[in-house]
Amino acid sequence: MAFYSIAFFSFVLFFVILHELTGHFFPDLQWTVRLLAGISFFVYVSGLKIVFLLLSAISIWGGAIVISNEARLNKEYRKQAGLSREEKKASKIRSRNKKKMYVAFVVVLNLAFLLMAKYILPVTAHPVALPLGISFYTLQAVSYIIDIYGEKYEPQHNPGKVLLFLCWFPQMIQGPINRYDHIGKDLYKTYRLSAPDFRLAFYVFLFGAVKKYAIADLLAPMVNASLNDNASVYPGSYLLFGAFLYAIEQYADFSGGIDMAMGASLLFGVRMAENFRQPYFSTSLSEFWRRWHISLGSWMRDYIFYPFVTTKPMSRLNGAINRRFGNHAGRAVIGGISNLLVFALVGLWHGPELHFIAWGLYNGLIIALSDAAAPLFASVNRMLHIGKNSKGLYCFRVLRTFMIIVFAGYFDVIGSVRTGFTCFFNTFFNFDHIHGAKLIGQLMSEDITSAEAIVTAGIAIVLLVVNSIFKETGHSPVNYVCTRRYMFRWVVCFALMGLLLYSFTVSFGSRGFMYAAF
Amino acid sequence: MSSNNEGAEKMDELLEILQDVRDDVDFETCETLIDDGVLTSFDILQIISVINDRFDIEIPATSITPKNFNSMSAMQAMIERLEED
Repeated sequence: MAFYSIAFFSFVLFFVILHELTGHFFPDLQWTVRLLAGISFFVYVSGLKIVFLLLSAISIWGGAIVISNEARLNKEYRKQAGLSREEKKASKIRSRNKKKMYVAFVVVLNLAFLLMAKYILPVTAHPVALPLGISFYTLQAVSYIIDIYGEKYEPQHNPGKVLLFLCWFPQMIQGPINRYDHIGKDLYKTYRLSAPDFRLAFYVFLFGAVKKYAIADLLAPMVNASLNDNASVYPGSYLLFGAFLYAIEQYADFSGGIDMAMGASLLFGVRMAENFRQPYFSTSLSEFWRRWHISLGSWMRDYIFYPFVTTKPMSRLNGAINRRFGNHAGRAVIGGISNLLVFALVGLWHGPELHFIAWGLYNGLIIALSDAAAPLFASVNRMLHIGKNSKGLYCFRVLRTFMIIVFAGYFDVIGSVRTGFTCFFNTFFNFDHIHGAKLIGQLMSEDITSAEAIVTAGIAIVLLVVNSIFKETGHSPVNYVCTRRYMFRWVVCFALMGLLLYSFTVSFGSRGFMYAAF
Repeated sequence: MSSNNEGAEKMDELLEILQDVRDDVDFETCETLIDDGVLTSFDILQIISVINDRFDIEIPATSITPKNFNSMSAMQAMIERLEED
């Protein structure tokens, strides 16, 4: 279901009305309307594959209760009088092992569903569509059960509420990957939509729609014309042009879609996790990953990176390296290895294709090397008398990080790792700007794009850049618009709507969301 | 009195560890080390490894939360909890 389809608008309208009515007459049952919306949305898109979702929900609901009961019983046992310190310790270890077994069982079960749906079924049978949002809700399910194991919060005893946490409809298309302790409060509360809240939801959605339809969809044909399976025959200048547009397209597509999902969710009073913080202002690739697809990055950090580096073998190795080579060495080696693992998994999560893994390793390798080389960079800066707060250094770093991301596009978009490497080579050793300019010129004559589409996208990109600069300097343009008098609001609304509608007329066909495929 | 001294000594030792990891951060006043992204995951990795070593404890992955790492005093409290176990 596309976000700007009649079906989606009718769906949201119907459930907002039902949600408001229930909030008025049966406030305690309002969360069941959200659950019904989630289930309907899932069944509408994926039909009977809801079995996958139900099994996940039941497994984490039951698993969480069993694990927390075990912890409670063990605490009560250890409080008994007359137990020696050794007895207490032994019982604690026994209990921890039991809990570990339960949590491992639930995690493996959920990952098995994901593997089956994502990597095994598509290969064996005819191409089958994935159960909606399985890559996202599986990660949510795993985070919930591990948090319960770590006693971060109390388990949810109502299975319907656990199911709602997994299938809240705005998150199903392309995330964000929400956490139970963050979104839970909003999912189960009673909420009445007020005029200011409606306004905020509307403008968040509208800003997102402009990104998606006036930028991403208008740039996509040009990106596809350059970064494709034939890319190895193109000159570097043309490839760089494509990769540059891809960096903009990717951000506009993904963050635009997330904004629309956030807007839809706000109509029900549910605030979802933040997924982007002006990522292209990052001064390093690791900072970029803390500001881009934040909910995935923080998931990987909390449930892969930290658990992996704190395993016994890793921490022993870390200690040994530290003692021998100094405290920065352990972190560089262990952090580097773990980071490669994380990014290989991020690549794999995107799809079981070699080029995604190459893309993940490219990211992981650069981050690992730059952390290892950090002391070296610092001393070079000291030698050149460049201050930490130098504006020039900041601009250089932002630009450098952006270029690293632009190059990553070669491995991300192009289906063959070999072609990706050729593109890389051509960018530096076969730039040929004359041939490149000719190819760019052909984009219009061959009807791949039009002057109108380029101008429309250009205007929207300028708006996006201005919006991002305001946000980066601590302002909130969307809040600003929402709190102005109504004349101002209407002008903004008509201008953006105009831009949006015009972009539909010059678009060469919209596609789904890039991230919805994951 | 002696436990107070012990606490103060531990705090000094912790400060020394933290400053060794990052000399550009004011650990004595900052209370949003994680929330504001002051410490990276590589910093945390180094911090837990040195703390584990010096205080002879094992910080499990589930304890690596903003609540436990946002400030020096939060880390100190976490270390004391883990030492009791």
